[in-house]
Amino acid sequence: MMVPGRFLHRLARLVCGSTPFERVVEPAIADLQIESQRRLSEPTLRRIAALFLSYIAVWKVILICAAMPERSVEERRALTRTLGWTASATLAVAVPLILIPLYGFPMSTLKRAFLIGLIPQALPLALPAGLTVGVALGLAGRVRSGQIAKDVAVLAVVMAILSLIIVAWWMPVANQAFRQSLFEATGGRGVVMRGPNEMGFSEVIREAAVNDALGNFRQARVYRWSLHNRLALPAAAVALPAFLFLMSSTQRTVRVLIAVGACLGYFTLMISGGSLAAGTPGINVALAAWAPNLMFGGAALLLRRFS
Amino acid sequence: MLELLTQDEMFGLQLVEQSKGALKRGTVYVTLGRMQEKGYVESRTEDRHPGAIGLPRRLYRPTAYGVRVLKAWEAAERELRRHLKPRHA
Repeated sequence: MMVPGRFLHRLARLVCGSTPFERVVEPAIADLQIESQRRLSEPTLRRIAALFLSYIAVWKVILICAAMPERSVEERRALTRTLGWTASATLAVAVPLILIPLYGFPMSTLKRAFLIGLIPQALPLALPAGLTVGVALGLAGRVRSGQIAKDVAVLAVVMAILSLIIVAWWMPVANQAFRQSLFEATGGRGVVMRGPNEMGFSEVIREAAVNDALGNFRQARVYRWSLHNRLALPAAAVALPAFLFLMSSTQRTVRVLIAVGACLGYFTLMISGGSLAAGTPGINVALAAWAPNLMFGGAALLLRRFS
Repeated sequence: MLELLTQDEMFGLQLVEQSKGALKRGTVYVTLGRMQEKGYVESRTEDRHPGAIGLPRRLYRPTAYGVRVLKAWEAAERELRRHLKPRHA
């Protein structure tokens, strides 16, 4: 006789903590199984309707338990430390990225609007770097359990989505507003021409096509590089922390050095990839933009395979 | 739930049936889990005969602390009703 709830049992074991699984989910599935046996003598339609409602109830239980994961005291501490270090490192990377473009300009031009306008161009770089250093410091010498891995994965995906929203919509508008304001503050008149980083994705694709049609292949490659780079950069928030998470070293200093080295390596690859891709027709622009993610993501998979 | 459990040890499904719709299948197990964490109820897996299929079910009953909590709650409810009762001239 087929016993219902086996798939739900396996799924719940994957997504729920061990205590809620044993105390909450298993009793719910056990009752579902008893109910299905009890209703064998009932008319088919009534039995199916009743079991359908029971299945919905068990799904609800699993979703509630999965949404409220169980963490040990050690796991909660590791997560809190990781979040704290991530926030500090993100700020430490973002602040110079915001202030450096303003270097050399008179103090009178440093209005608040300029500083706010520079935040969106700093965040897509600061977020992955911050999380990478946060994972390196927060989890140094600590338990890296399945729950912590899930928490870090969720954090990385949220940061990647946030980063994508910034590069797709906020950054182009803020960049252009900053450039225009700076131009006017230094006595300029007229509208500053927009570059690829001041355009939305659809505009960049259109400009690339127009330049291709006009035979300006180098310029077309610059536009394509901007598009792929802006799509690939948010994924750094997943690839870099994954690499650091799977590093087995427990010494804090070593982990920080590896984190900083990985971030510098990533951004160096990104910049040099851009220069190469723009100037060398034989190099695939998309591959050049995604190469750093493929490298660090691939290294993370290898570390997982052999750990 | 504590009121029902003081009558007899019950499975989650039995609690839902005995409550006559007051308790829902989707939330009774989560609530029982939380009550266990707080120490109001305790549970044990049922004794099963050999050859039984499926997972063993859980039987719930109130702890001594849970019974005290229930009595305190009932006393508070009685007191509240007494104060809310309209006074006749």
